[in-house]
Amino acid sequence: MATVRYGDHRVPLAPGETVLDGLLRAGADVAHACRSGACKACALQAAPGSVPEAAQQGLRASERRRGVFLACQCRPQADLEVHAADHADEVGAEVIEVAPLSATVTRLRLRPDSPLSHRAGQYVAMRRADGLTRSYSIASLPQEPWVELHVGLVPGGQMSRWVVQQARPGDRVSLRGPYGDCVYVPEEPQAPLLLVGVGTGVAPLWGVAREAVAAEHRGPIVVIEAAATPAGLYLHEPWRALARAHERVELLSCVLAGGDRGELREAPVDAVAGERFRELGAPKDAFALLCGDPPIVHRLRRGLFLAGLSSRRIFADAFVMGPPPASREASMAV
Amino acid sequence: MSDDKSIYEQIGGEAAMNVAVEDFYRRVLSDEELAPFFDDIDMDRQIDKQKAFLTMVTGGPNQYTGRDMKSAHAVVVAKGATDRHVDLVIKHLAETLASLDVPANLIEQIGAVAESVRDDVLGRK
Ligand SMILES: Cc1cc2nc3c(=O)[nH]c(=O)nc-3n(C[C@H](O)[C@H](O)[C@H](O)COP(=O)(O)OP(=O)(O)OC[C@H]3O[C@@H](n4cnc5c(N)ncnc54)[C@H](O)[C@@H]3O)c2cc1C
Ligand code: HEM
Repeated sequence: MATVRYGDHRVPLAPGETVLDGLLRAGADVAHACRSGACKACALQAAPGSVPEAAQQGLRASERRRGVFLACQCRPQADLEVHAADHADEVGAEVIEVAPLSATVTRLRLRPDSPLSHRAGQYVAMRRADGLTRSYSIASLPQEPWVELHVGLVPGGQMSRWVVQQARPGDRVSLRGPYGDCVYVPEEPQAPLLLVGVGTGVAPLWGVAREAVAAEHRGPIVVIEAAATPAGLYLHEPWRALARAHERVELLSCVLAGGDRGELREAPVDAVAGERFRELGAPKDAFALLCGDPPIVHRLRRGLFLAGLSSRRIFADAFVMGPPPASREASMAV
Repeated sequence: MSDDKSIYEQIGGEAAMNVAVEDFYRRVLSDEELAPFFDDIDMDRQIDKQKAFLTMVTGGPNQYTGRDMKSAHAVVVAKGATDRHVDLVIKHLAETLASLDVPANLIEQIGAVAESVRDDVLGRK
């Protein structure tokens, strides 16, 4: 049985228990959110080389070298001493603009203290002064003078409510990352691109699509925006403008209800994406970038894979949130 | 083909393995009897694990670091997996290899390895 040491806490882990679950059980204060390795909020640090490889997946090489790891993915075989991660890779940033894009989505523009060298489509872990940490995808291009995030209001959500209702220019946050591989692949300018965003999942694709256009991408760029209702298609007008301005860009918009008029289709997004992929001739050289609600991203990815696209050409960012409080016990038992 | 080469090398090494594993997984997910067992499984990770496993059983270079077959399949057994499902998995594997023009004697050898873990998979050992 492995014991985790963290400050004054000495916590023997149950078999299969993660460092995060153990520390939270003992009452330790560890920032966390998705508990599935996606959001990177629960990064801690240990002696380099002392944590299982699985606990460092998706982190930056520089972080892995310094022993930074994800507490929610760490099931140590031996005793482990951990501490809060140093912030060597963190960049302070100032809020320079807070603008509503719809009733529930806010555009947050940040000016990092030093440049955040990111690629369009990646995401950052954003930490508020009190330590609360959540991940958001970057909608801006590296050459733009700000880092732009699109934050959707989640009922009862701590970070999203703060961004949408309270954040003001001049507020300070920290950014860690960037992470993720939902990016444009400039080496293959002829590849058909299928960019599918659900809800705020279009945010990273807004950067990727503009990068592809700027790179004079030669293959078709199919953008599919999806939401439960038309009101959720918060970036619809900018997408339409982009599609009008660039012949290569095609926009498909789908909703589950309230569509079937004009250009909105009332159909599940995975059906629409699969159909469009087949109409294009199920091209094996296509790239699919899928972002947003986890179950839908899961279905999209499986559908395109079964339609013949290699899993190595499918990039997905599932916007995993923490489990609702009621199911937290259950998820710990697994 | 010379016999001192591993099956892995004879069927075309890593490139062939990448194609084989995806084709195999596609067949499994398209099989109505098997698909429900994979509903909640992360596709990329599963493909990587299957690749590591197939690489190992065909004598390739990768180290298989996944779980042992019994604990990996405890959940599937609890969900009702039987010999029938193992038969289907082995059938899909053979069909994948056949579609890649792997010679019948090699398919047989790989099938025998898969067969050898049947009792582990079904939790009988
Ligand atoms: C890689 C990645 C990228 C992301 N990118 C973005 C992005 O670009 N834009 C964005 O807005 N978000 C994004 N997210 C999600 C984001 O990180 C936060 O999880 C989200 O903003 C909620 O945080 P919160 O603090 O407001 O909510 P929390 O205080 O964490 O509470 C969320 C709670 O609400 C529950 N919940 C979830 N959905 C609903 C719902 N529809 N109704 C009611 N309750 C619900 C959850 O189970 C959870 O208990 C991303 C996540 C990941 C992992
Ligand atoms: C000879 C037959 C089989 C072989 C060689 C085999 C091989 C494997 C391997 C190598 C893994 C990865 C283990 C790991 O997690 O590290 C795995 C996982 C899995 N297998 Fe099999 N398998 C076989 C039969 C089956 C059958 C019959 C089913 C379903 C009916 C099945 C369902 C699964 C599932 C769902 C997982 C994922 C488990 C998880 O990640 O929780 N397998 N298998």
